[in-house]
Amino acid sequence: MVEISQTFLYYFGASIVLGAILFFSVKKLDDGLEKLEAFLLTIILIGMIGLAFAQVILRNFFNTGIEWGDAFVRHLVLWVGFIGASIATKEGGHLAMDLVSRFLPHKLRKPTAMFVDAASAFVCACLALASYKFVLGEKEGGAMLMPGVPNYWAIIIIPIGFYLMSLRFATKILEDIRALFGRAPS
Amino acid sequence: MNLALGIGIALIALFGAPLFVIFGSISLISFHNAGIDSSATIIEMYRLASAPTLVAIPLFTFAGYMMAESKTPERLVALAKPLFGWMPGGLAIMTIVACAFFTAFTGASGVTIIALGGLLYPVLVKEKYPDNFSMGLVTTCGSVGLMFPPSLPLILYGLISGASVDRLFVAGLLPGLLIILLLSLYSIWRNRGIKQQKHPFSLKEVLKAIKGAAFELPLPFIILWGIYGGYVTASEAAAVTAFYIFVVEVFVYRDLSLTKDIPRIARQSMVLVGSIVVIFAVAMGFTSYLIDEQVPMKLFEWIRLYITSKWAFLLMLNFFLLIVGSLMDIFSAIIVVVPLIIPIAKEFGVDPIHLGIIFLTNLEIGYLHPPVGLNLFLSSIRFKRSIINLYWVTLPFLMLLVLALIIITYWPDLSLYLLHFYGGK
Repeated sequence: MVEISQTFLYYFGASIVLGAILFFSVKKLDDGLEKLEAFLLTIILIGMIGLAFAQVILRNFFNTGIEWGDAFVRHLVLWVGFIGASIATKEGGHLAMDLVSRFLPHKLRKPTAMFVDAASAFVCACLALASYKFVLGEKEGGAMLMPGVPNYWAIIIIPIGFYLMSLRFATKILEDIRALFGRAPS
Repeated sequence: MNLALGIGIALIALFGAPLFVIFGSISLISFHNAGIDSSATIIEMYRLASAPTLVAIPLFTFAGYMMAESKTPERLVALAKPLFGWMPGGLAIMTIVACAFFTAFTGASGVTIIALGGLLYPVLVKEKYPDNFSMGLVTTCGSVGLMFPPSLPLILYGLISGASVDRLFVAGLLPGLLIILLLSLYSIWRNRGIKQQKHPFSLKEVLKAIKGAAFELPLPFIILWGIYGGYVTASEAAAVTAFYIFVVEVFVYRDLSLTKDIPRIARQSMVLVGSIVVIFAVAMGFTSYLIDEQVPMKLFEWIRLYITSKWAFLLMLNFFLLIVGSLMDIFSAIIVVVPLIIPIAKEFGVDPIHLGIIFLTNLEIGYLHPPVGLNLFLSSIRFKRSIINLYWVTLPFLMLLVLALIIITYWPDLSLYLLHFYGGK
């Protein structure tokens, strides 16, 4: 089993705290990342459609196909999924049960939101670490996705995705604190 | 320690934490307690990522969002009006059919109410249908059609349960039609006394509308022919649909601009896909851990103390799923609940395909179910109505859907009959 060193953990935690402060104070960074993510989404999605469609045509009319094509498209699902989830975090678009907060008085919403965001940031950080370990394990296993591309390159998006979500939840904590003290962001 | 964590998780769940955070934390804690490495959370999800059906989810979602953002809803209404307008209650039936068609393609993500409901509600009111009836109908129809191919919840159920998606597509046909039939009959009966303007059937108008929608109309037939004929799998159908819609909307109708609209739609649709994928990512490891620990079997032993017949079990299951459906969205409910229910249902001799249809009917009701049914909130936002008012106007429809649920649950052949003619696998 792959072990993660204590020093790595410190750097990992510090990078989320610093990143959140940076995102909070320089809004353009966060927005810029979002633009990059949205751009990647479009490119990957169109690539996915093209490749998946080509496979159908090749298989049904020419009885052939790109050998690594299907596996490649399946891994692209992870890419659009985790990039989409990262954007969902920024715009608060995740699926939730939301039983109480809809009916909560306005005054209480900010403190509870802060609590929820802090827990979410922590859980995402743990999930980022867990999936990072998983990627390292895959790297040792040495499976190949297609000629010249090892499997673990494709799944690296899982820890990256969880890391970005953690970062965005952490940024939200700071925004919640600012809102709590009355100065709403413009 | 565990108690404190449990209370903490319950609190953030109540205060609206994302579901993936909740399941992720439960999963991490149980693996930690069991002494299993945390990366196990992800391994199970990765195993499922190698199921070919997964590709269908982003492709169908993107295709559905493209249709919603283009002028497809207008063309659909233009066609349905002359087709159904001459019947008694015709426009109500038109609403049901158009919404069912649209929902099947957009995967019941709530797009139907926003895209079609906004178009249809004013038409209904203008044709002198009572306001409350029209509002209730439009709100209800946001999720009618869930059972028809290529609906996303059906695909997701197949993916999670291991049941064949193609067979689910066949099984959903009659139950889906039953719901449409019940709603249509009710619409005719409810509006029997209302004097309405007659729209005589005009072939000319129908042909004109068909011509307008000439490029979109063949799509459902291509999909049905491809899937039911066994020519393509669900994921291949998704690839063809996404490609076809993309070409038609961007290059033929030019409703969508490649540089302006497509990136925006890609982003919107993938936010939904992403929020499904992360729940998937954290919940699969957890549910398979529970199954390894024999939790469903222990639950089954316990249930059997009180319930011995299949029919009583199904009744209890319906109550349970209605509660789940009123708390959670359909996607999370399928991902989290299905793996745990399947082994229990198997012991009671419930067919996994029939179970899937029961499951989806319950969750379809969940869309309308107070306090947090998604359709209620969408309608409330779209039409600026109070939620309480919507509880009332949707109540008759809710009861009709419950009637449909009872029929679907206790008449398994309604779901399974057509399968005898299909492949016979």
